[in-house]
Amino acid sequence: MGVVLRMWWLGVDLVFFFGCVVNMAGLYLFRWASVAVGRGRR
Amino acid sequence: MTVFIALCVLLVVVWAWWRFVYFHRNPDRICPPGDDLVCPADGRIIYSEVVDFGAPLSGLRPSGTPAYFDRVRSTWNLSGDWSVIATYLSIFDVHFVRSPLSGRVRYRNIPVVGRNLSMEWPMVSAILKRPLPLGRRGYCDKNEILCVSIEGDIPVVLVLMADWWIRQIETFVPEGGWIERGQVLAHIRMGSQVDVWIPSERATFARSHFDTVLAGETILGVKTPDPPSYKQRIRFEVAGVFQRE
Repeated sequence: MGVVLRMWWLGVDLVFFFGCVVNMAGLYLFRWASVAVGRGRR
Repeated sequence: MTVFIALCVLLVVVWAWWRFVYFHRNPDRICPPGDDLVCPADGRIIYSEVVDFGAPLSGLRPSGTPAYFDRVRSTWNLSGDWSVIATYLSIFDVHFVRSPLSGRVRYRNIPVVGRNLSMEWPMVSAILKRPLPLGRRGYCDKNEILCVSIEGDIPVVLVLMADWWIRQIETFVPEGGWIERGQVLAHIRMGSQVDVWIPSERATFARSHFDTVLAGETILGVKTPDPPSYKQRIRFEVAGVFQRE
């Protein structure tokens, strides 16, 4: 049971990691675009 | 198909490197001389405000969430004006938390209310450099937090917050133990946010919104000099430092 739980949480980490990376990339792109049109903070 | 499998393997290798190596790095930090408060965590400042713990917290206030403030206040019986500054740690920041000053350490674990909430909005605020809306701070009210009191020259309270997928905050100093300024205090496994509370009369924060900070290296706050004692004041007056009325 402990091994299954550990594998489950590793899977959560993996999905969450790539979710965060994609999310952060999108947000940085949005900030860059906002700055480019003069509406964001550099 | 081969390309797809190779790509999947590459992604898993990247994740494994981050998960088991990069995330757990603990680089040496050079603590600046002096006794100013140093930042406890790497990341970006997302909010900074002053809270009057003498006033009823249920009343209307310009910012902050009364439930979170009450959790901190009731844990350590705080009173008077306290300033709080919050540092958001992204998944690429060092997650070893360091002590802002030397002092004696005490811990209180505040259990989760219901279930831990996701901390995606602090991340949005930190990256876009936009204020964190009050309505998006529900995680402060509900998530499990480790409240740390450090009694040094001035009392300081650290709040280590966990995201919903956090499973452990590991501490390195025992209850009642002494910690030096800049020394490693704890390691948040896959976390999140560190708040520093200081009495407003005893120190002032030197950082503001969206500053990027480094644990143990960046100066976070400056202690307020003690007012001159009666004897010192007499000496100053004799020396003509103070103008007589």
